[in-house]
Amino acid sequence: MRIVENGTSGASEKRTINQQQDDIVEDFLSIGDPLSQYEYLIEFATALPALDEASKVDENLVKDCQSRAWLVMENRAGALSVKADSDTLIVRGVLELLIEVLDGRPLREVAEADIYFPEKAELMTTFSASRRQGIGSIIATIKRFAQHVCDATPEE
Amino acid sequence: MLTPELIASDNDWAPVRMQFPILDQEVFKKPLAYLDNAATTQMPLRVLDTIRHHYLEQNANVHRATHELSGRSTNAFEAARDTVARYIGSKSSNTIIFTRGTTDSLNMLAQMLERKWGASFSALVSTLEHHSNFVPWQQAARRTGGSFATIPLDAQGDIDLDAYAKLLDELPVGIVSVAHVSNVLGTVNPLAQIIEMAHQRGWLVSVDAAQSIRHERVDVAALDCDFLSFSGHKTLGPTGIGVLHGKEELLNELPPVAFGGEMVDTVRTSGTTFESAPLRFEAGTPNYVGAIGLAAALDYLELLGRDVVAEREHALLDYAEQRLGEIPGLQILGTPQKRAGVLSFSVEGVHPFDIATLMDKMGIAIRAGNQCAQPLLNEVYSLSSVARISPAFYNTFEEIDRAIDALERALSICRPAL
Repeated sequence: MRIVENGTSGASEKRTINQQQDDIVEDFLSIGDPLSQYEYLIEFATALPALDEASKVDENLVKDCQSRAWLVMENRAGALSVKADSDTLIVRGVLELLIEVLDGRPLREVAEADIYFPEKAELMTTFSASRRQGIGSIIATIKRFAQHVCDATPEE
Repeated sequence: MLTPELIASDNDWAPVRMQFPILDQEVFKKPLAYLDNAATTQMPLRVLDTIRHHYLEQNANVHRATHELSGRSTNAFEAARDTVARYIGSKSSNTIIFTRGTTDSLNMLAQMLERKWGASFSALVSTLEHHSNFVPWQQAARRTGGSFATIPLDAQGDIDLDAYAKLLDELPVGIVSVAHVSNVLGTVNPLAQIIEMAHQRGWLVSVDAAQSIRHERVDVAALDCDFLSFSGHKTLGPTGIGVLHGKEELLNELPPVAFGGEMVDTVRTSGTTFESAPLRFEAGTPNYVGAIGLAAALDYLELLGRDVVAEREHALLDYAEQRLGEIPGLQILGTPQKRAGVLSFSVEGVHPFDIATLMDKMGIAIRAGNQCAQPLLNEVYSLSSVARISPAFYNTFEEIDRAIDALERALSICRPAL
């Protein structure tokens, strides 16, 4: 089930953000029908460790209309550390995929990344408009954090 | 499970369903079961044909010109007002103001009373109200420094009438505004009693009939309510049209809150006088085509038979309640003495959004969210979101079975992941 298994064996760490996104897109598109795509997405939700309750505070909340999502981000020696949770499985699935793609990446790469897999994997097209907006704000929040740290850190 | 009687009943209603071709389609390659009628109902061909006919044959602005088309358009618009008056049991069409919908009606009414009463403004609503019958009153009270209070519910989800009586006695006399039917619990409020208790103490009463107009008898004369609001799009009519009914003598004492053409009598630099009700409250070109479509929808409901429609909707809802009750861990919100129109439910540990999203991919349209009733969900049930199923008479027992199958499937997908 893990996306990285699609990569060349042992080389998953070296795959780029876009290569990993392309793997995800290919996986989802190969499934075909929307219900099975969601079943598959929910399997990723199970892989996402729950955030501890102390982290589920308003300042970590990404606002959107129908469900709640929390992001806990850190600058770990110039790389992004991101943990996340949501009260819905579908959003948890998307969060797990985002973490697989972005966690541990250099912050500059994250700030500059074009996160297209939710759109291209056709997940976004079956989301309602408010849900799309919610996923969009999760991605924007991660990128904004990365950009903010980059701006505050002088170039070496 | 489906019995031969239920299947026969579905077959009996098949010709009616043919008036709603939108229902006969696939979504995500699955046959659609549209069970979100408390949000919006579908329009029958008769309504669509009426709208099309109006635009093709008699469209012109109303109440203005002297030409033939304007005359036809005005006649159709005013006939629509007569139809609405007849439908809700009002003796006079002057009591019918066309608005953009229930929300608009309630906002207008709150603002009218705010201007008339000023600092003595006082409004009392119940805890089960939709935001549209909650926030306008709350905000008007905030602006005027007046009073705003809520009537609590009992454990079943019915209005606590003892607490209500107490509030009526204690608070400054003003207006009570309550839903006829709750959009979350389906509670049918005992309007006659609520209205009588208010009137005995000199209060006015406004009824939010958005959820009841399709399947409950709404008779303003029998109820003796002072105001009543509803929307076209929840009663087989188009969106963007609604009604505010008010007793004529009360309406003529209330100031308009929107100004423009049509609602004025004389306009001078020194001042303006206004038409009497209902025109004084309909500034600018009204949504006359919406009104004409709404009247066609009400005519259609009368043609089918309002009691027949109500009976069918109650039977579908009862069946849904029975089938939902078979699912372990599923909780239906509220056990009101009388329920109509909607069933809201939650399943332990599973988010309603996940349920509704997965059911959608199986062709089943239901609603998930706070149902625009946060005071009820958050403060009474400590929930942020519920799933809601709301059948209309054109739905079938077979569709409810499909919805239950889809729900079970959705739960079987979600539960192992929890």
